[in-house]
Amino acid sequence: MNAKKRSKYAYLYIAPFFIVFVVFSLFPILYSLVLSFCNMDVLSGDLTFIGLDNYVRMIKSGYFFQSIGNTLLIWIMSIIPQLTIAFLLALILSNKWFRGRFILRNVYYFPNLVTPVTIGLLFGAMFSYPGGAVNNIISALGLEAVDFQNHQMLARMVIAIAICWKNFGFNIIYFTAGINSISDDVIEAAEVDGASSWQRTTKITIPLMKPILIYVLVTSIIGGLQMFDESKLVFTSVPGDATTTMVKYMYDSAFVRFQFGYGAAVAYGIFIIVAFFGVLSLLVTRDRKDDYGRKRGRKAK
Amino acid sequence: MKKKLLSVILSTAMLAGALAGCGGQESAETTATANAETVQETAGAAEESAEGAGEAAASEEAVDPASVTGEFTYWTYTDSANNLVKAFNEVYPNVTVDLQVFGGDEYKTKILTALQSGTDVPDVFDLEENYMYEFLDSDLIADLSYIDIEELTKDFYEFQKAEMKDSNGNYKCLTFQSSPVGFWYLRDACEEWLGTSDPDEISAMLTDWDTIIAKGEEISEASGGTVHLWPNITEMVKVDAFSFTPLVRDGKLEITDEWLGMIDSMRKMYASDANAELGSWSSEWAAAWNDGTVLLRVMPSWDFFTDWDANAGNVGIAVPFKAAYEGATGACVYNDSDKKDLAGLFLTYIASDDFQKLNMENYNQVPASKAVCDELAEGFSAEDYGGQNLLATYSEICDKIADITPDKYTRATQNLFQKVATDGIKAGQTNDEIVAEFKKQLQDQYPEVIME
Repeated sequence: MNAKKRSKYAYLYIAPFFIVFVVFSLFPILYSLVLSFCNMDVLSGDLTFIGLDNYVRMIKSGYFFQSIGNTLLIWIMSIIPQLTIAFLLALILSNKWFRGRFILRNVYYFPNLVTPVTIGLLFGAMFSYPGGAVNNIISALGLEAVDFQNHQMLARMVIAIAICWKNFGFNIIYFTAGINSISDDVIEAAEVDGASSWQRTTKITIPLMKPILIYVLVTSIIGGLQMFDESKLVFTSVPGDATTTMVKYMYDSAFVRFQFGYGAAVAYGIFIIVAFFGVLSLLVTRDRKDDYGRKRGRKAK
Repeated sequence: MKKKLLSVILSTAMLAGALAGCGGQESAETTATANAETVQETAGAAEESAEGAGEAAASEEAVDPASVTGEFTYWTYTDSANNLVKAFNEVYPNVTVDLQVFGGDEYKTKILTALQSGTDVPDVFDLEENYMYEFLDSDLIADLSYIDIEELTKDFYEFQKAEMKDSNGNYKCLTFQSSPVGFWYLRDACEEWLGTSDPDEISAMLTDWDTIIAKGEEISEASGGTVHLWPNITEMVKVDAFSFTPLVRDGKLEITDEWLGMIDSMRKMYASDANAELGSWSSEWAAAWNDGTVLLRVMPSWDFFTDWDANAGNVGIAVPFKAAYEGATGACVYNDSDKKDLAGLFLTYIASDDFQKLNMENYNQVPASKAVCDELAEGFSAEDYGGQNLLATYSEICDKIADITPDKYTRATQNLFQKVATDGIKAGQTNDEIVAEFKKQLQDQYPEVIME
């Protein structure tokens, strides 16, 4: 069997994936693009071409830009503690002397199995005013109960905590895998050379985990900027729509007000923003030096 | 050759596996088709009965209900539809209703997708008031004049008739039960703080916002600030909004003085001790009402509140000084359905006096028919409500509800106004600032609306 014939079979092997991809991913993506240039009648589904009107409306909408700001704020408030806690716990749980690390790793992962709806309702109840669990503790300490829902920044913070709580266990798994992939020989060599625990972490573990760190960061950006469930469910109404995220804005436009064309345009707006931050994070974290410590792109003499 | 065969088998298996999700639907369709064929076969002999179903709508006595056969599909978002189907099947035992209940937001999307694609569309489907008026103008929803809806609903409350129409005045859905909004209270708590638990006396005591605020402040003072008459300023809109001219009419925004007056009343309430300001449906709100530290809550008749068992016999409902309804359900028929006759028969049944009575007696749902409501109200006494003649109370409220045919903006703008006014008052904004913010948000959400 010659190479050309064999390559035909390769197409056959990859066909199932591509058929599913075209039907369930590519077609909806392209259809949404077409939709974003149209107005759609709610029931008949008839499309009326309106050019760039939906995009112009989106760019002129202060509320869309406000939703971007809300998303970024909540994301920053959740991602920093989330990755920090996950990394520190992964470091601790990777120590062989630490008893019960397997149990703890599973326990930390459990919140990730809880559905977003449950998390939303749970945190909404915990932080409700004046009688939620958190306010009961605050009151027991002799302090005044806090109305989290009616304070813009506190409401965002509660949602950030909910997201952080849900995801940090998931990131522990990635980080632990990264740490465990580092060869014992390297660590032992460092120990022989007299490197302290801090030096081993900062000079060996973190640099060697860079690919994992970048992966987690990029996926966290993509996932974080698409946050929806928690912002919709933790608090039903926050002053100034302070917890309305980009995806919730899109959802409200498309599925509450049935403006599917505008919703599609907003979806593309979100895609551009997520892509921008994804590329930015790759640029910021890319390795500018090669294995010999030289700047990349410089020709060898 | 073996390799080739193996690759083909593997690829086919992978593709089949990947598309397994679609398989279920396909088989469901096949089953549905088979069922439809069976029904058609059955209906072969009973074709006349299916045809007769429409006629049955006009003259039920002409057709023996047991002779009507067939099957139709009914989609809804509420479990209470099981009661409808059960009652219908007691009269029409040989009609199979394929009832499918979808919870939450999923339902709205599902019915929309079905109608848009024209496949697997149910013959009868329920729409919820919040989005119903986005749908009603469509030709995909049958004009119910084919079942002589005007005659069927001639005894319905005027507001019920109005809410069943599309923007052209055609009857496009059937709202078969009423959902009037009342002031719900606990009798023992009101006895202690208002000096009476009699609904008529309480209604007479609370005649406008000023009297409510004044009475609330009295109670707050007497209780040392522990008891509040009113739950939160958001619920004030529920009382007033349906008595006012809708904010958007014919695609044009007009904020009348009554809406501005409502902001003033909300602000006054917010500043007063009458107000507990506990968010509706929050656990604190429910707990405060249950332990008698918030005396009133503004709820429609279908409300099921917490600790019903603990409060049974201790609940009363007073008539608000303005009348409104909330959370209506409209039953529609798919215009291209080939079971329109059976669908019409079903709607005819649930509009009938018999069902309206049964729905009240068995399931506590307020009749849409004024005649039925008034008839049942004679000597009616609700044990769970301390022996109150609840139907007389509901009928009084229903009589006062304005017969406005809503459009897609009506409830949406009420909700937006409610939210913007509440946020603005809490942030210390003036009326002008609140109105400006409302207009800004309305323009963002519905750019086609013409502003004043």
